[in-house]
Amino acid sequence: MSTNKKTRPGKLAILIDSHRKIARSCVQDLLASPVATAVTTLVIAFALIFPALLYLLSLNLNASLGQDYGPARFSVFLQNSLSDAEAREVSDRLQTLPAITSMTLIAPEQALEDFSENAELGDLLLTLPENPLPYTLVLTLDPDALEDIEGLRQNIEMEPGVESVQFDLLWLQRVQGFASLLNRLGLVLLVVVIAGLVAIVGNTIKLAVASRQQEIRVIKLVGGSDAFIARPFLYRGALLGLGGAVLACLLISVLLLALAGPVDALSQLYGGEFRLVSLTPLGYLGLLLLGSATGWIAAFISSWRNIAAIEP
Amino acid sequence: MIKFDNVSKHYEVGRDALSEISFELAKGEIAFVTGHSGAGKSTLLKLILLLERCSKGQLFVDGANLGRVSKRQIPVHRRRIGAVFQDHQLLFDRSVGDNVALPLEIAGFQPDDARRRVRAALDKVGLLAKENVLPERLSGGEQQRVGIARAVVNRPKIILADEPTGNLDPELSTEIMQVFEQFKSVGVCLLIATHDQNLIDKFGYRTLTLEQGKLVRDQKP
Repeated sequence: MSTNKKTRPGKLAILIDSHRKIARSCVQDLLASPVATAVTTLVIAFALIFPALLYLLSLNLNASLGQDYGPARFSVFLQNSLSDAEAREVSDRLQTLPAITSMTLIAPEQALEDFSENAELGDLLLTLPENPLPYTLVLTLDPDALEDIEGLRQNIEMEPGVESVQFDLLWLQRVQGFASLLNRLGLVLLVVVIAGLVAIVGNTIKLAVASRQQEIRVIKLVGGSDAFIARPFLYRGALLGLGGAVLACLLISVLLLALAGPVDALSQLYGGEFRLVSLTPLGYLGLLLLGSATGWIAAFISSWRNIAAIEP
Repeated sequence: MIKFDNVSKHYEVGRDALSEISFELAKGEIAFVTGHSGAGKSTLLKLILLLERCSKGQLFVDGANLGRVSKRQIPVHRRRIGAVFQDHQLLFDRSVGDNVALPLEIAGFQPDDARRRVRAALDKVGLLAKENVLPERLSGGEQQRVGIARAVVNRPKIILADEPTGNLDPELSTEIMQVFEQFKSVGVCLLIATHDQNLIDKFGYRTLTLEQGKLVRDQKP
């Protein structure tokens, strides 16, 4: 072991060192024109915020619904006058419909019991001289039957012995559908935003390349490859993207913090246990990655084209 | 090292910039290229650096047929050549030392190594004291010498110089030529475009004379 002998850094160390140097000078460059940098960063941040917020909204809608309510169901109320045998007859007839996957018959006594357990109104019902509740059939529907749900409802309603048909939880499913629509919309918006970011960052890189035309010419003269020349511009793109993403993360967390109080208050008013779902650390990390990767890719496309066009 | 085989270069308009040039330069040889301005001296150097491509004929540099060098390979080709440009081609937002270090940076040299070589090159052209100065604070002659230091710093096999002594007084010109001679002695091939007849006479190396794109005289010592 000789300590006098200076250890020579390997190729990788040299490369890392030169990258560090470029990154540092790139930050200095960006800080040298603070207004332009701030504007670009803000634009990127706002562009990133919209799909992130849509995603959060759909996440929260789903969370507020609490759970997946399972397949769609009809509640079929039979006419009050039906006897037990007649009710079973109706039930057997409906069982033959292809849209129905399973069925439960609830007798009036059972329904009354359930009712009195679940709702305050039940006590009131018990005071009535006779049970006002009819036989009820709960039908679970084949998801494929949902397309013509209104037609199916009318068909069942026209069956003899049927008083009325109610589609349970329809509104819930509509909200769920809306949430998944928002989710989808967020994805589409994400694609649009990425395309927009590529255009924005690409344009700033194009301007940066143009302002360094003379320098690029000199570097080409002494044998610098396009990849060597592109390096600082790639850093510039990635840094701009990262800066925008950091700002977007900050704005989102400020927004969530501001909303948490009122949402809690609202939730308590309704006796619910709903809490605002915020972005997980992984979500924030994803946003940062998305921003810097998009910036890098935009810079890659733009610098590749614009640097190649410069002839020494 | 450099071989022109019936090389012509013509542009879209006008007469041939170079026509049917043939000559060969060996390892460790110095040659001057002379002629009036517009005779084709710069074009000749541009062809070797692949700043332009030959229209006709073949050009070999260090054994490579330049007609076969693809666009992607051009940077690697240029790294083998040290070039001094008439208009210096320096980076004005970097110090003299960083300008000279540029070819080493491109080649991926270790910073300590690079710094040592840069200082050696600057010492050769007498500008060691100006290492940390920005080029715009230097005179034209000093800028020229920075360009020369940059051309030799990576110890290329071939050095091309376009009017390297154009802005220098006779004394400095002689010093620069002595730097070039040191490279010749270690086997470097040098091609120097100049119209400085005094310099040519003083050193008496092989002289290629161009006239209207034609090689009219190849005077060997």
